[in-house]
Amino acid sequence: MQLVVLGLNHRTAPLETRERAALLPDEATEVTASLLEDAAAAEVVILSTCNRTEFYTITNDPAGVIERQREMMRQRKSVDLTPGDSGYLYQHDEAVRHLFRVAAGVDSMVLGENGIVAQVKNAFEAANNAGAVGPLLGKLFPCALRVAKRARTETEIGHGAVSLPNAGLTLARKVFGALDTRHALVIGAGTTGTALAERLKEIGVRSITVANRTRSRAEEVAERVGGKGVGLEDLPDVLAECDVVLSAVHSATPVLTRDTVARAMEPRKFGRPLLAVDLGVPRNIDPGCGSLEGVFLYAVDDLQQLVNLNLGRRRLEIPAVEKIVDEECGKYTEWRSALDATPVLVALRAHVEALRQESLERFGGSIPDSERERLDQFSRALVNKLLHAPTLSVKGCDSSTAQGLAQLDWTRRLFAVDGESRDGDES
Amino acid sequence: MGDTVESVLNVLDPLLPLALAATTLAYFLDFRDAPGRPAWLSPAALLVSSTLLVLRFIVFVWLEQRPPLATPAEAFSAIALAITVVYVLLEKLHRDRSLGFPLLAAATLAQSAALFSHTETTQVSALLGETWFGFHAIAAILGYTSFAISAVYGILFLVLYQNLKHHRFGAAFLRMPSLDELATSSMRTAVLGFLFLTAAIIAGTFGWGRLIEGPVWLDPKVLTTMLAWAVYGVGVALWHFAGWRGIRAIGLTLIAFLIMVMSSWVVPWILGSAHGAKGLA
Repeated sequence: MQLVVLGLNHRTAPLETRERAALLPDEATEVTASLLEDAAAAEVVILSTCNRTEFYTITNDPAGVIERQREMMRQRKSVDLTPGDSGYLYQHDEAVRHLFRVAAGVDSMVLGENGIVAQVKNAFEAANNAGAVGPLLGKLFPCALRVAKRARTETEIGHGAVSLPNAGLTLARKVFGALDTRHALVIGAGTTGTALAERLKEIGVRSITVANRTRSRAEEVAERVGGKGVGLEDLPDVLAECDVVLSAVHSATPVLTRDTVARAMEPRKFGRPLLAVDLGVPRNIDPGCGSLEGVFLYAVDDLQQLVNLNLGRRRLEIPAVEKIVDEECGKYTEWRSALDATPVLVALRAHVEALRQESLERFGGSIPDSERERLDQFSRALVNKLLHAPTLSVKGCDSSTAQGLAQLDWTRRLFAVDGESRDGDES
Repeated sequence: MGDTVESVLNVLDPLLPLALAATTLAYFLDFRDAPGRPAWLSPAALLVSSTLLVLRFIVFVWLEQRPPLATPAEAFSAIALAITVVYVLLEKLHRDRSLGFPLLAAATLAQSAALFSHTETTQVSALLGETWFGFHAIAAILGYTSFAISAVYGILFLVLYQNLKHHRFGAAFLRMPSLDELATSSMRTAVLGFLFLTAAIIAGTFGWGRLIEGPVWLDPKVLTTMLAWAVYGVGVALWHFAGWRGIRAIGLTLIAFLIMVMSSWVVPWILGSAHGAKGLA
């Protein structure tokens, strides 16, 4: 049984192709059932996200399964998974390494992103619930999740904000520390504004005010996050009470002028700072506000600078993550090899012991008992010495590779033993 | 008994720099967020070091019947004790560990300097035997140490403030606590310093008044120290009661610190003073 990974991702396929290739959960379950039905695949997990669609398959017929999956994607999704074109193909230990790198976040569009861990976990659970997971993928995917955990706890691959809104929140924490006693103002109730308000609610700020051109829309978003909704005309009044302002509206002119902010800072003249994060293009907040005492103003370019810095720091962690991937690949390979090697060793030992006993009976019948005992010890020692090298050789076979599988097969044939892999049994 | 006590001192003196160095290392590992370090390591190390420092102080005072301030080595040891005490108060009262590593490193250096600059004490001022003076001097050292630590926090605040204002995301941005935390830590240590200095002033007024002619308040050093004390007092009062925050509050404490530095070194040098080393002669 071999592991095969066929798929595409943000590196090999453009967005339009990835969009077509994406399999929703119900679709993935249907495809999984279909792949298992024709018995080419023994185990299947489908990982489908906005940036990748991959089939992890355990099979005895890799070429057949690959062709089956390619044909299925052509018919269902008009997507060609030809390796080297839009798609890629990994087998054996390369397939294991690929999954571990995906889970660790080093293969993601945003290096070190955390969302992929839940996606891998969900894909595995969905396949498990569909009865598509056996002992091999049942061991592989938990190992991948362990790699993900180790990468994020033992390295800083997941540290630092790598999106503009999160960079804004990082700055808020750098100014204020904990945000649970702070008042936040979100200007704009569109997609970005709503996402910002929801993120602030997750963080647990003390209060959230949402301001929008259309008051009713502001109130709608505010209600969702347990805050207050106001119109843009109320900005001068609410600004004085706020510590953090996040702005994301479409406006040709600034919605917060220098005068407005200066007036809001008046009651706070004894030093309480104001952090203003402007995610709008054109800018929503007058750049002159940055020169006011106690006002920290950041626009998109400034946030991008911070994001780039964090991405650079994450890139420095890649070698450490690859080291973890190597270690866990080694452990998985060792486990996999034992699964295949053990039956061969057991069969070999049993076969040779049977030959030894048969020979003792045949040639030791007329020998006195004391001599017979010595003959038994001699034959046992001779057999152990003869089998020592073949035993080490079998244990050292890497059954995740074609060469390793061939070595095991040769051993079986050489000694005329069965010892077929007990993929269904834990070693 | 005296020999036994002296033996204790002889054991503690070389042991203390090692204990402080080990504590500094434990806090450094915390600072670097080193994996695998046990959570109990740094609190245990701090407990051992601070206990040994306090023990040494008590043993010394019991043996010599005076505070350890007669020689440079004794003064270094007193500074190490003061730094450690102020840090322990910060950590235990306010759970503030942000300056643990550098402060304990400074205490280690001071205690090591004490060990390597040790000389036999040949002449001790009679003033050191006076109870009020011992209390005054130790309270003053604790006060000045607190103000120095407050100033360190204040300077770090200014550095981070400027970095944030000018959108610089270098080491200061990455490694420092938040502006708010730096400001709060600065004010908290300023409060400690204010309380210690108040105690030192009260004891000093009582003692110096008996020793020098004329009003003690007119002494240049005393006058500038009182000015610094007043500015600190105004600063902490505005922080606690009037809601002063940010750069204005920190600015005021840094001005007070500058006055304090001048009162300690510049004013006595330029204008002379009956206070300080002269009094100890």
